[in-house]
Amino acid sequence: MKDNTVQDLVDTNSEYQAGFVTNVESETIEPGLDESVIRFISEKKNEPEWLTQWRLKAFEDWQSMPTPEWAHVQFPPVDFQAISYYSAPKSQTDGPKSLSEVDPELLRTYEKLGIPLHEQEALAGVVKDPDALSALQSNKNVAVDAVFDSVSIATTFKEKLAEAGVIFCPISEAVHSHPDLVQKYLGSVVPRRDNFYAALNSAVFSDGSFVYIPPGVRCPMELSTYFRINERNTGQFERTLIVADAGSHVSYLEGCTAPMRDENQLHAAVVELVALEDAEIKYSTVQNWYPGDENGKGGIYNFVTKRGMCRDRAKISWTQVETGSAITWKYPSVVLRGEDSIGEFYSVALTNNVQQADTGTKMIHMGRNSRSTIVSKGISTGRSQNSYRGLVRVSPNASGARNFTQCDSLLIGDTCGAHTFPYIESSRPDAIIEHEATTSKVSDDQMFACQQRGIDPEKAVSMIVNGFCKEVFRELPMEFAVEAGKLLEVSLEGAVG
Amino acid sequence: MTLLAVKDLHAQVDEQSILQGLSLTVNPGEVHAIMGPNGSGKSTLANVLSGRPGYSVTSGTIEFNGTDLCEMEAHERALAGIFLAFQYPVEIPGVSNMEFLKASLEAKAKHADQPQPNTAKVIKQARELAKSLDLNPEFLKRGVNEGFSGGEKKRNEILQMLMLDPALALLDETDSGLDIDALQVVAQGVNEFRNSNNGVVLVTHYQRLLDYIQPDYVHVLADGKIVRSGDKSLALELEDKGYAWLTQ
Amino acid sequence: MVDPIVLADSARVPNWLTKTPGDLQSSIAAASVTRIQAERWKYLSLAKAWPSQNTLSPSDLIFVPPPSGTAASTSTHRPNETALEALDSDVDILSPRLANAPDAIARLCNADFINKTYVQPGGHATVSLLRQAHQAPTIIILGEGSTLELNETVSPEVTHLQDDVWLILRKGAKVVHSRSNFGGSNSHLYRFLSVTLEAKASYQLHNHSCGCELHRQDIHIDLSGSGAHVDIQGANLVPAASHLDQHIVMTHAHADSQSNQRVHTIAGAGSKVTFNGRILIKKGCPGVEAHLNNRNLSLSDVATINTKPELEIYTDDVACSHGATIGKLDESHLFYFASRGVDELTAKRLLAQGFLATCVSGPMAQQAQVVLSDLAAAENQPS
Repeated sequence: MKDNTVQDLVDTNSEYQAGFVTNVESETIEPGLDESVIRFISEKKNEPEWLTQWRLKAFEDWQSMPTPEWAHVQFPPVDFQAISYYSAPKSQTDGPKSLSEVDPELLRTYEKLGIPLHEQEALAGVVKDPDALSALQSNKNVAVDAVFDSVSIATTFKEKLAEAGVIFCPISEAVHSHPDLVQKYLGSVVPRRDNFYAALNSAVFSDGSFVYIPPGVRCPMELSTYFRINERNTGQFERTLIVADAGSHVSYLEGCTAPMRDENQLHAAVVELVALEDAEIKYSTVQNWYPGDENGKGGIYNFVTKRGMCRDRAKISWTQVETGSAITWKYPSVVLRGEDSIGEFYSVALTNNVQQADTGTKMIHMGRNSRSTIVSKGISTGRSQNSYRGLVRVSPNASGARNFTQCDSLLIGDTCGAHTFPYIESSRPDAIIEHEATTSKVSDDQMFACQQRGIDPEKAVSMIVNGFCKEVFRELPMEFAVEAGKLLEVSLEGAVG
Repeated sequence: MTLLAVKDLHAQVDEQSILQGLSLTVNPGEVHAIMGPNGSGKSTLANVLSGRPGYSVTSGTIEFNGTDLCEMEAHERALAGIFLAFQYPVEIPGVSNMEFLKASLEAKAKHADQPQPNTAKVIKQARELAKSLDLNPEFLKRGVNEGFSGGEKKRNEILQMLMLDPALALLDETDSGLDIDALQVVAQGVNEFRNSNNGVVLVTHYQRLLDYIQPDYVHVLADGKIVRSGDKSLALELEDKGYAWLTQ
Repeated sequence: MVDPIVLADSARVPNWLTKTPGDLQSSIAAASVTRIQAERWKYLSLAKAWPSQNTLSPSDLIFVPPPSGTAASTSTHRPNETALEALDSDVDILSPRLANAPDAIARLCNADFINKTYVQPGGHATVSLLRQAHQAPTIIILGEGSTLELNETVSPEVTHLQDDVWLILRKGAKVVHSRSNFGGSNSHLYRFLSVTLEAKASYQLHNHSCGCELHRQDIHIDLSGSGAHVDIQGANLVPAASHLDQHIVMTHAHADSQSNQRVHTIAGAGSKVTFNGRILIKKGCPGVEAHLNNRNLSLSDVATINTKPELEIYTDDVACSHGATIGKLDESHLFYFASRGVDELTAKRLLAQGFLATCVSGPMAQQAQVVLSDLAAAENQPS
């Protein structure tokens, strides 16, 4: 009789399915970073002077800032002079064109990734499961902004969205078409010198999406951005800004992949969300950057600053499924500035092989009766290290604030680590804060129960892990939930051979 | 053809020898009751047959439909047609009963090269069975055994057995912890299941269950082997006299 | 049963500490600026710790030498040769802790003498320590299968106390340790406690605290043997405008060890409470069970409560959990009292006392209960 314990299954390595390289001629500047590079990027995008100055100030700040070292991750120092800070497919150098003009090679890349940019098929961009697709096809579509290295190559459904007054375009375009909005909100949630990587991003950010939902409007479709790093030795520094005006509502999806390369590539994005009075923003991420091979060679360093700000009665909800990247350093946060505002964070982070993740959230309660919920599910396998790090802070003015946090860790195999670092700081004794954390493993009894019903070990592990993550998957838009489950299965297949 | 043939089986758990030369033959259409005092190896037998990790066969053979079971993994044995109704069904949080059932049925269909089961039909059948087992059909949406009472867990095992329709069902102390009403419901499920093509092995400590499920054979297990076999009357004798007279 | 030998003497600092004082001191200096150290001081305002010297840095703190000659030394027997030798080798176990507790190690190094107690295998001792001022470090080593009842009391007259207690439990040894940190309103306490458990050793800590203006407590526990067991119950009442800063590091370095911690704290008006409970489970330690529950209750509208329960786990087959809550008295409980005609103040007092009482335990429980209840009642008076 063979003892098929979970441990035995944690060996081989799965194929990273998004790991191909697109052969397009790119304009990529020499690696290195100084003032001239920043001026080059700014000029390339024909930016107004205020933005050039803003970038330069950020660069100045960045130079004097230390790299954050408190996270539970280890990696050799990044050589910031070895990175190229701008790369764009040659065919796209004049900025985004209409779909019909986009380089077919690029369209094929996105098709291969399952993100067709033809509008009639756009929904399929995030939904590959035929069942879910047909169920959804009838009622709505998803608008896609596709960002390839440093530029946005296409944005779909712009016209249809414009009818509702919704602005959805590359941020490089918004700088010109909606300068007031961009100038007003850029850096308003994540200040220029917020942290080392945010300052770097502020100096060199390339492209990203800009969204504005006018007062009282419910965005007629899901918005999504698909980020792709292609070029060698480049970093991706996108910047996303979403402004939901009073009483509006938007659901936004983000996906990311990169080719398999031997060197580590840096992705230092900034995402800012502004939810004005009574507005609601739902932001969902399925992060599948290349994680490196089973020995930790290559992979993306995902050092991302994401933060939202809620005015009175506004709500921001972050949902993330993190399966990729060599290192994840990411804390999507909510500043609950308004009264009765709501912040939510739902996270699944899976690490395999030698991946390291230090991820969680910050809920900063400043408004009266503000409420927050944190549900974090960490799964560690292989030799990976997976940490939850979260801050719940209640300021002296936030009377009646409420937080509930649930952090669960699942370990598969005895060579990985699972860690929980919650920081709870309350200056309001009438706040109610509850934090619970548990650690467990996929038990041999559960495995046997599944196998006894004929379910093979791989499927059994993925089923148990999916069950463990259910509370989070439930929060994903349906289009994403199916994908997330499948992605988890693929990522775990690596773990369970 | 013989369904299950166990010959001179020796098996151990945690390096402790439990089964010491057990032999048992089950033919299609037969119901065998395995009885015996605590620690005699009854549950070990059920676990060894179903391939539970941690239980190892040190000598002897197990043949199921003519194939050697010992080299097969637990899920392969299940696909071959062996079903274990657990004594202590485990909870699997977040995985609903329906998902679990569906995954099992899909694995079975795939193994048999049959088309995948129709989800709507499966749900309908499961709901009907749940009702007949006195379970609220809503329980199918809940996590596997999550927050179930002891009786609900046992009835859930019977439901799975009826859905999967295995060739051989091993019921490991399915009667323990059940009140008389639940016991009747469970027994009714087993009686519904049994037919001339399949076999049932009931592992039980008490004669009580056999009032409702008529066994063809009753075996008494002591110190890891069968010390006495007989028909239903043996169980009644045991009820009367206890086990001591057999094990001395 | 073997007759225990209890030693308490003023023997010089052990060899390993004096051999290379230069190296050791530089190690300590290096350790003091590590990130671990920086974070551990995160919540404590050093200005408040040393009001006379506002510019003090953590490294200054570490090298504050205890005034000599103030330690209570109740010498009974001179140790025999064998016992002394055993002691010297036992003490080696302390040296690897340098990185984790440089300040405490520094005090060991700089001490004029060290109080050492050795309980012979199979013996039993009861040790009572009254903390009055700066103390020489105390090292207590329990031989195999021995037992100890250790009762520590802080005198309310203490204004400034730094002390270290190092407990080493050999196989199967058992310690019941009560700590009553009942200082006065001027008391500043800096206490360090290190406990190392070998296989099947058991350690119980009944840790009660109240009344101090400033109380910093570091507790490091290492479970380094199979079947080692630790149970901590903590009840703290932090009076108005006071500061309690507790850090407990529970390291499971061996399979099948267990720990359970329950700490309840009431924060008075304008007080500041910090709790950092870290559970570390090292690689290759299956079968570990570790639980921590920290609850904080505030009776006024102004108080700062920080809690940081941490789990750091490198073994899969473990059962761990932690929970932390911050909150006020449950309205439904108050209403229950009101519906029975009990006035609000009394109800609050009873509920607060009850909240603490669940964590008051051990041989000194009765005394602790009285002190805590009186203070809880006083804290609850309308101001």
